Amino acid sequence: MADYTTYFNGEWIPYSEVKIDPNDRGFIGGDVVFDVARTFDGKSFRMKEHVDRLYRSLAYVRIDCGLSKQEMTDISEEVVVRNENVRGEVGDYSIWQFVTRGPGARARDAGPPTVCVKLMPVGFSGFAHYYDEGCHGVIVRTRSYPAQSLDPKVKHWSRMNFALADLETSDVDPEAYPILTDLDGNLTEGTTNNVFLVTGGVIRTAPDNDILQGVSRGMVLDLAAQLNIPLVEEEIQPYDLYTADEAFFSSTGPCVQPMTKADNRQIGDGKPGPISKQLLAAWSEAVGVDIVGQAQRYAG
Amino acid sequence: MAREPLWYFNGDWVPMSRVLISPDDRGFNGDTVFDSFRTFGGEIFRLDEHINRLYRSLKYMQFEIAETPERMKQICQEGMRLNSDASGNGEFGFYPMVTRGPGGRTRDAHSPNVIVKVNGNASNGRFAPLYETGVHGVIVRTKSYPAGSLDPKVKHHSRNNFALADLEAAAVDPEGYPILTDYDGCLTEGISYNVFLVTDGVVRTPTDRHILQGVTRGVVLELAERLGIPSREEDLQPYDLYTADEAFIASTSPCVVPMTSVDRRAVGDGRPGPVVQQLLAGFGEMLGVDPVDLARRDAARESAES
Repeated sequence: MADYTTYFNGEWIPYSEVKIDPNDRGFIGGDVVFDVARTFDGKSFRMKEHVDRLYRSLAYVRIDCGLSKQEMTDISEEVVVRNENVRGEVGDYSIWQFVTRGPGARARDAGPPTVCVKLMPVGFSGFAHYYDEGCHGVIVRTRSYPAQSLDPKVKHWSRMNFALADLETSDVDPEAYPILTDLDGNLTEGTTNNVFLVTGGVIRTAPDNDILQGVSRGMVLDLAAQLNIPLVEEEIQPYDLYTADEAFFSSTGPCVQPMTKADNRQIGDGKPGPISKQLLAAWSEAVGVDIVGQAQRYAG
Repeated sequence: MAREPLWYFNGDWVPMSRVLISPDDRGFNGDTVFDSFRTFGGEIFRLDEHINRLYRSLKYMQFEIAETPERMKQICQEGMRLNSDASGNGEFGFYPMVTRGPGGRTRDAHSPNVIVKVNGNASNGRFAPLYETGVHGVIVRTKSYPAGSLDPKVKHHSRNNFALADLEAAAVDPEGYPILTDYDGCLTEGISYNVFLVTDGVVRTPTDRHILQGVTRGVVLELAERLGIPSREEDLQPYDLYTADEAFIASTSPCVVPMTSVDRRAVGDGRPGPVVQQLLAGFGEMLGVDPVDLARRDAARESAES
C-alpha cells in the first residue's frame, strides 16, 4: 500500500509520519469522532452528506475542529487529488476524516483538537465475493449503546462494544458480520453497516433512534423511492430477519451487500435476492461505475 | 522531572516521547483496557488488587498478552527503579494499558501493545484544598453504559460518554464532578471515582452492578468495618444523595474526598463530615502516610517551585 499523503493538523505529510500522542483524549477516552466517504472512479460520493454528518457529530460531542465545513470539504477533496497518481493500484479510495478532542486530563480542559484526513483503499478484496455468495450475519448479545448513554447517531470511536460484537460473531461463524440489538431486543445496526430486509416486496429497516444515520442507508432510501419499491422504517426483531425473503447490508465501501444467512438460518432461498441486485444496478448507474464489476476486478 | 520518564513499551523501557501509537491501532477505537495506581510513602498500594482487576478486564475483552500478572508486578517495580530521580517527590504513579493493536477487524488483530506509563513525581497537590472545601457533585443526564452494552466493571478507554458527562457537569458548575446514573435512575459512579453517602450514621454506596469495582471503594468498606461504622451496598437514587448527612468520593490518588454539594444543594451542613474525617485517619494509619498531609506537602512544594 502506498504511503498516502495525509492532512494532519494543518500539514500534508506521509501517512507513516502520523503519530498520535497516547495522552490524546482520542486515545485515552475514545473521545474522537470521524466519518468515511468513498470515491467512484476518483470522484467523491455524497461528500456533503458525510461532512454534514461529521459536523453533527462534532456539535453533539462539543468539539470545535477549527475548520469550516467548506474547508473540511476542500481538504477531503484535495487528499484525493494529491494521491490520484497512485489510485490505479487500488481502484478507489475511502476518505477518512477524524477529529479528537486533543490532550487533556478532563474534557473541559482538553485541546487543541487533532484533525486528520487520510485515505485508505476501498479494499475490494474484503467484500467482492459477497455480491455473488452473500455474506452471513450474527445477532450478538452485546447491545448498542442506548442514546441516553452515547447516541449511536454520533460516529465516534468509543467502540469497545463493537469489538466485543466482532469477537462474539466470529465465535459463531468465523467470517460473519455482527448485528446488534437495542435494550428492547430490536435490531439496530452492524459495526460498519446498516441492516435491511425484504418481506413481501417491502424493504424494511430500523428507524434512526438507535443507529448511525448511514449515508449509504440514505442512498438506499432514495433509490427505493426512484425504483418505486415500497420501504418502511420500523422496529424490527430478529424474527423478522430470520423469516425475511431477502436481506442486505448497506455501507460506504460495498454500497449494498447481500446477506444470505443470519444466525445459521438461511434467508430466503439462500442466494442474493432480486432487490439487492436492482439497487446495485441503479446505484452503479447513478455513479457511472459498475460497482460489482469493479470490486471483482480489483479483488482479483 | 529533569529527564523524560521511561515507559514500558512492548518489552522495552523507552523515553515517553518514543511511545507513539499508530492511528491504525484499534486502541484508537477505544479498544484498550487499563488500570491506574500509585505509591504512598514509596510503596505501591494494593498492587495485587489493581493487577488482578487489569487481568479481569483483559479476560473480559479477550486480550492475550505475553506478560503474566507476576511479570506485570515486576515491571512496575522496575519502573520505579528506572524512574527514581532526585527531582521527584519520591512517589510514583502507574498506568498500565493494553491496546488491541492494528487490524481491520477485532478478530484479526493479534498484536496488542502493552504500555506501562510511569510517573516519578505523582503529586496529590491538586487535592489539598478539596479536603477542606469538598468537591461539588453534578448528576448528569448522560447514562452509564448498561452491562449488556459494555460492562462498567471493565476499565476501558471507550469513554466518550464520560467526556459528555464532564462537559455537562462543567456547564452546571465549572469545577463540578459528574455523577452518572443507570437506566433505572440509580446512582452509578463518577468518571474516575466511586460515590458514597452517609445517612443516619450508615455509609451507603451503589452495588457493583453498573460500576467499576473500585479498589479504593473496597478499602473504604474494609475501613468502615474496622472502625465499626455500618455500611451497605444498595440501589441509591439522587434523592438519597440530596438528603444525605454527608457524602464523599473514593479514588486511588486522594483516597476519599468530601462532597459538600450536589446539584447546587448543600450536603448536610455544607462542610466535610465526620465520617470522611474518620476514614481519612484510617487511610493514614493503613498507608503510614496521612493523605491530607501528603497533598499539602505536594501543594507547598509546587507553589515553592512555581
